[in-house]
Amino acid sequence: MKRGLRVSGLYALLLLGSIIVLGPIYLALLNALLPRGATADYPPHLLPAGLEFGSFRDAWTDVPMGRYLLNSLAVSSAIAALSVTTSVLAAYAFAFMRFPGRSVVFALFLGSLMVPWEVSVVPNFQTIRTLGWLDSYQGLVVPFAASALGIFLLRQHFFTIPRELRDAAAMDGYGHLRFLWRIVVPLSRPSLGALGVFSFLSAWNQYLWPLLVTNSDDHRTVQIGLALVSSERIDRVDIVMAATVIALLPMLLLLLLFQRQLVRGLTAGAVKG
Amino acid sequence: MRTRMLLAHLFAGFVVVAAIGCGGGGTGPQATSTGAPATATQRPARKPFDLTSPVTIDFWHSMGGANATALEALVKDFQAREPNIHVNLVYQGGYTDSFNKLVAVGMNSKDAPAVIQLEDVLTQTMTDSKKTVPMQDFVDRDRFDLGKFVPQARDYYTVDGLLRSMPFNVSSPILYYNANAFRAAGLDPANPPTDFDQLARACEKLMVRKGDQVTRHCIATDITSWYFEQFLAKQGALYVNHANGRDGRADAVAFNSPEGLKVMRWWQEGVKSGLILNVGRNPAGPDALLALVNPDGGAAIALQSSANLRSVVDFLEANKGLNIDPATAPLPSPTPGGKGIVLGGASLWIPATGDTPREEAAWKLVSFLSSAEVQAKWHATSGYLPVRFDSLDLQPVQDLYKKYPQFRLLVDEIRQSPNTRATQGALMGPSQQVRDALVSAIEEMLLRGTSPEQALKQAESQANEAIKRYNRAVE
Repeated sequence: MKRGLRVSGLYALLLLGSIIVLGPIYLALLNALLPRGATADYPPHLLPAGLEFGSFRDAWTDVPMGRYLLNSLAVSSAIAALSVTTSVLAAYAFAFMRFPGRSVVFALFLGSLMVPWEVSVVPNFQTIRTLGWLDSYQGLVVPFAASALGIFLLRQHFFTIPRELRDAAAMDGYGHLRFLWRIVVPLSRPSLGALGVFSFLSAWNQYLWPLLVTNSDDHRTVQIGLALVSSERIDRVDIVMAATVIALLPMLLLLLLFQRQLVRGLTAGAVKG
Repeated sequence: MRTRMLLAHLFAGFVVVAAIGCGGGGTGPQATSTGAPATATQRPARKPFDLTSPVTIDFWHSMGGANATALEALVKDFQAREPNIHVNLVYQGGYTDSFNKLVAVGMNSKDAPAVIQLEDVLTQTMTDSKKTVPMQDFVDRDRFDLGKFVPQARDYYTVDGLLRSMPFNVSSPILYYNANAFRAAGLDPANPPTDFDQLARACEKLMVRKGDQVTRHCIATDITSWYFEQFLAKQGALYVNHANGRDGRADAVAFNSPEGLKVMRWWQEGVKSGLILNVGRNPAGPDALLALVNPDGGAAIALQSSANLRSVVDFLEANKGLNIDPATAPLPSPTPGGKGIVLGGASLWIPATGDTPREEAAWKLVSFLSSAEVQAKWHATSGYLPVRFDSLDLQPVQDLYKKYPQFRLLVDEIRQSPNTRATQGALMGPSQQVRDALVSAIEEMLLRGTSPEQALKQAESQANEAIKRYNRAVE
C-alpha cells in the first residue's frame, strides 16, 4: 500500500516534469501547424485545428534556413572533431607522461574552467577581429577547438587505464602516439563519443558568439537565423514556430541516437577518479 | 532576450570608448551653438568621382514583416538601374542589435557595412563618433535638392548645420481603432478624439463594464518613452535643455515640467480607472494591437507606431472574419489644439571607411532610396511615411490612398505639425539610457503606484547622470 502510494507519487512528479519539458515543444509544433492567422485567435488554441504545413515551406524559403542548418552542421562538427582531438592529446600527456610542472599546468587548465565564457568574450572577439576572421568559419570554430572540460573528463578516464598496459606496450616498442592510438583510444571509445556528442550539442546551441562574429547569411548558424526570423517575421507566429521546429529536429535526432553514450560517458566521469 | 540585453550592456562601454578614441583631434570642427553655416564652409569639398569598376556593398537594415519585403523590392530596383553595384542586403535584427554589431566590428573598419540603417535617437552618438561621412558632403557636391523633403525629418538629422544621415523611414505614433466599435457605441468614426478631454468623453462610451469590473478598456498602450516624447512635442514642450540639444550640447533633461507631469498623470489615472489597458513593455509592439481583435475584452483603440499600419491592413485582409473596420487617427494631444509631432524613425548612415568607391556606391544607393519615386513606392508598400512631399503626387501614393484612406491621414498630420525645436526631436548621446530611465519610472508608477511627481523626478536624476557621464567622455 505504502509502496503503491510512493510509486504513484513518483509517477505524478515525472508526469509534471515531462509536461513542463514537453509543453513548450508541443506548443511550438501546434502553432506551426495552425492555419495562417489562427495563431492570433483568442482564446489560444490548445488542440490542433487543422494541419497546415505551409508555414514550414514559408520558413524554409523566407529565410535561408537550409544554409543556416548547413552552417551549424559544419561548425558544430568541426568543433566536436577538433575539441576531441586536442582533448585526447592533452589528457594523454597529463595522464601518462611525467614532465616538470605537470600539476601546475593542469591546475591552470582546471582554473580556466572557473572563468565564465562571457568574461573572455571581449578579448576573444578582439583577437578574431585582428586576425580578420570576422564572418568566417574559422572565427566560429577556432575559439572552441580546445576545451578544459574535455581534457579534464578524458584525463579522469585515462587514469582508469592500468599503467601496466603502458609499461607492457613500451616493452613491445610502442611509442606514445602508437600506444595512444592502438590502446588508449579504443579503450576510451564511450568517453570519446560522449565528449564528441556533448561538444557538438553545445556548439549547436551557441548563441552569443555566433551572434557576435557573423554578419551575413553565408556564415550565420541556425540559432542566429532563428533569432532573426523571430524579430523579422513578428507578424507570422506560425513561421517563427515552424523555423523553431526545423532547428530543433536535427538535435532531437542526435539525442535519440546517442542518448546511451551521452549518459554513460557523463556519469563515467562523475563517479570515477 | 537576456543574451541580447547582456550584449547591449557589453557594448555600452565600447560606444563611449569609440567616441573618445576619435574626439581628441582638436582641429576638427567643434560643436558651435550658433555658427552652423560657418562649420559647413570650413569643410573640404568632396571630390567628384566616377564609378567605373564593379563594386559590392553591404547594406545593414532592421526591417521586418511587410516592411522587409518592401525594402527588398526597392533594392532590386536599384540593382536593375546600377548593374555595376552589387548590394548585399543584410538583416541585422533590431536597431539596437544592428548598432551593437556596427560598434563591435569597428564603425569604420573594413568589416563595417557601406550603408547602415540606424534609429533616430542614435544621431548624436553617431555624430560624436566622427566615423561617418556626413551626408552633407555628397549633398553639397551633387547639389542634391533637400528642398522637397519634409522639413522636420530633414532637420532631425541635421546636427551643427550638417545633414549627418539621410532620413529614410519615418513613422509616428497613431491611434488604431475599430470603426465598428465606434459606431456601436454611438460615436462618429470619422471624428476621432483629438485631445485628452475628448478622448476621455469618447472612452466613457467605448468602455464596457460588468459591475465594478472593466471588461473592455478604451485604449491599449505599451510602456515606451516614445509616446511620452511625442506627447511633449504635441504640447510644444522640450525633452532636453538647450532647445532639445540643438542650440548646444544638452546637459540635462527638460521633461520634468508641467507638460511632462500632465502626461504622466493621464497615464497613471487612465490605468487606474481602466481607461488604459497597459500591455507592459513590449519592444516589438503587437500586444497593444492584438487587444483590438480580442473578442472577450481588450480595448477599442490601440496606440501604436504607424510603421505597423501595413502589417495591420494585411493581417485584417487575411482575417476578414474578425469583423474589424480598421481606422486610424492622429495621436491625441494632452492639451486642446496641440499639433506637433516628432518625425523620427530611422536614417541611412555611410561609415567613413576611406574606401572611396565603396562610399560613392553607398551614396548612389542612399540618394536612390531618398528620391521622390522610390519614397512614393516605399510609402505605398511599407507602413512608413515618405520623407519628401513631392512623393505624394506620384501614382503609387495616389493609388494607395484610394485603396486605404487610412494612410492619407498620416501625411495630413505632418503637414499640420509646426517645424520647431520641440518637433525636431531631442539630441543627446545616451538616448537609450534616458529612455530606459523613463520607462522604468513609468513602469514603477503604473505597477507600484509611485506618484507621477516622484516618478518624473527619479527619471530626471537618472537621465541627467547618464548625460553627464556621456558628455564627460566626449568633451
